[in-house]
Amino acid sequence: MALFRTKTKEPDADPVRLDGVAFRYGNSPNILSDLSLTLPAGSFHFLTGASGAGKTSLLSLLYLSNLPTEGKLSLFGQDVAKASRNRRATIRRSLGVVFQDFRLLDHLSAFDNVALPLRVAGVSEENVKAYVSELLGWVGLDGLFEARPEVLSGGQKQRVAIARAVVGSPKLILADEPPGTVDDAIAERLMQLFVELHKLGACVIVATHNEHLVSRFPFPRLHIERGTLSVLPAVSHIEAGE
Amino acid sequence: MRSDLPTPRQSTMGHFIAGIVAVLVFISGIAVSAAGSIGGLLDTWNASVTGTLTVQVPGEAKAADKLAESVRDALLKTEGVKRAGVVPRAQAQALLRPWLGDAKLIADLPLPALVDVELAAPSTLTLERVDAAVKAVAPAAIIDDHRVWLNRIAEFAQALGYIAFILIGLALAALTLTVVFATRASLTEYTQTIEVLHLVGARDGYIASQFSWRAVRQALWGGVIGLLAFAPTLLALSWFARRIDPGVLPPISLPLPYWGGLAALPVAAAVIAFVAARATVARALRAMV
Ligand SMILES: Nc1ncnc2c1ncn2[C@@H]1O[C@H](COP(=O)(O)OP(=O)(O)OP(=O)(O)O)[C@@H](O)[C@H]1O
Ligand SMILES: [Mg+2]
Repeated sequence: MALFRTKTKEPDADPVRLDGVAFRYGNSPNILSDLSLTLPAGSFHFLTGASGAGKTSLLSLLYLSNLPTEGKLSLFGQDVAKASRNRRATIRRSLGVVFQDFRLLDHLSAFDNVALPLRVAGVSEENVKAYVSELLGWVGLDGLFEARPEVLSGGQKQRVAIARAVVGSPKLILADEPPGTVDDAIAERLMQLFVELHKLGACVIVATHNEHLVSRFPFPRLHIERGTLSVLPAVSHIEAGE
Repeated sequence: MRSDLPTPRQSTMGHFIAGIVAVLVFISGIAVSAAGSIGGLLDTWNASVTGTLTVQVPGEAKAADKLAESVRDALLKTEGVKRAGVVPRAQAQALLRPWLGDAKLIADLPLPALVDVELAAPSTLTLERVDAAVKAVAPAAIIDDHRVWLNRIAEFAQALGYIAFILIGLALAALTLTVVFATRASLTEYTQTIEVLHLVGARDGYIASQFSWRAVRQALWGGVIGLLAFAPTLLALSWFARRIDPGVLPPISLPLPYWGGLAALPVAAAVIAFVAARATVARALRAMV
């Protein structure tokens, strides 16, 4: 599958690096505290934890919606707190995010929603048409190019959201609960998409509650509990070892 | 420029900016043409009337006529006077006939004798000389300097002109505030859009441009509609003005620069809309990481 390639400034730097990161909303107590972690290119992790544990909060730091309250977060070797606003915009273009609530724009067609990351990055319309059409076809949305999100089913919306996340060929993919609302055949195919991108060198984090999903893939887990993060081995490996 | 924002038809703010700009341009249009016509009127008056004045010599008809002739002779010797002549009493009476009718009644009226004076170069100095010459011969004579009452009208007209400019200023200020608040209000409507654009890697400038060009389009539209609505009003006004006796009201014409001013109104609205929208969106974006 031909995806549009964006350039990063330092392709060799680790996509994610946390040094003593803590985070809280406003004056409330810390949601996350003292996280230190490095995720190299080409790694794949599930992100698990009970509802309200802070999975979305951690991802929001990684997709630059929030800044850490303490500690240092570096993406692709750049300290995000010190980066200029334009620099941060450039970093965001190396990210592919599937939001828990999708965040599709209701006034845009499926095609235009998927095209958004390419257009804001100034990709020519000719290329936009080629990449977006191919990708929408690949996620099984042929014939729904002009459909508005409001007429799409939950699963179709999710596929649009995933297509938008990966269309820019991101180096870091953050998926919040992606297969939660999709039936298993589609979930399988979408997970395959992430696995493919991971094999191509992307760093992938998939947040999920779905134990079944976690157990089917041999990937380690980042587990959040009481504000701290631990790295657990892949469920399938534990089972294999028993 | 391609837009990622909802089209005006898709949004409730929709034609609000265009509508308000249309109304304000209409009002400014009236103010601009009022200011322009007043300016034109003043020029006409200045050109036609300033060089003349009338001296009234009161008294019993025969004596007054005699005195008027002395006044004329004195004025003809005064520096700065181009022409002076006694208005024949018959002519003055003829002027009154349409109003008073009865010739006998008019003949009995204690009309002053009139001396018509044309000045070579009207100036305060000349007027002082005229005054001195007249008063020396006929202390009771009244100099009717047309400029005295004309100046009052001119001052009044000028005040109206200033008010027109204040009106234009107020309309533009209202426009600025409207665009700022309309953009701010529409920001709540577009929070989701702005956030998504921001999160998929759009720079602040890209997002601000989308809003500012959209505001420009709406303001230009509104401006043109306002002008189009104003045109018939202007035509109607000038038609009514032309029906008035030119002796009472000189023909009104809008000086050329004011036509430029009218055409500039939609452009001014567009510039204001651009700056206001851009500043407002930039401010909202700075609140995001
Ligand atoms: N914008 C916010 N402002 C304040 N508190 C918030 C905000 N978002 C989340 N929280 C709080 O932070 C905590 C962690 O929330 P978060 O959404 O990160 O959990 P999660 O692990 O993603 O949960 P879920 O599995 O249900 O999606 C929760 O207690 C939540 O109430
Ligand atoms: Mg969550």
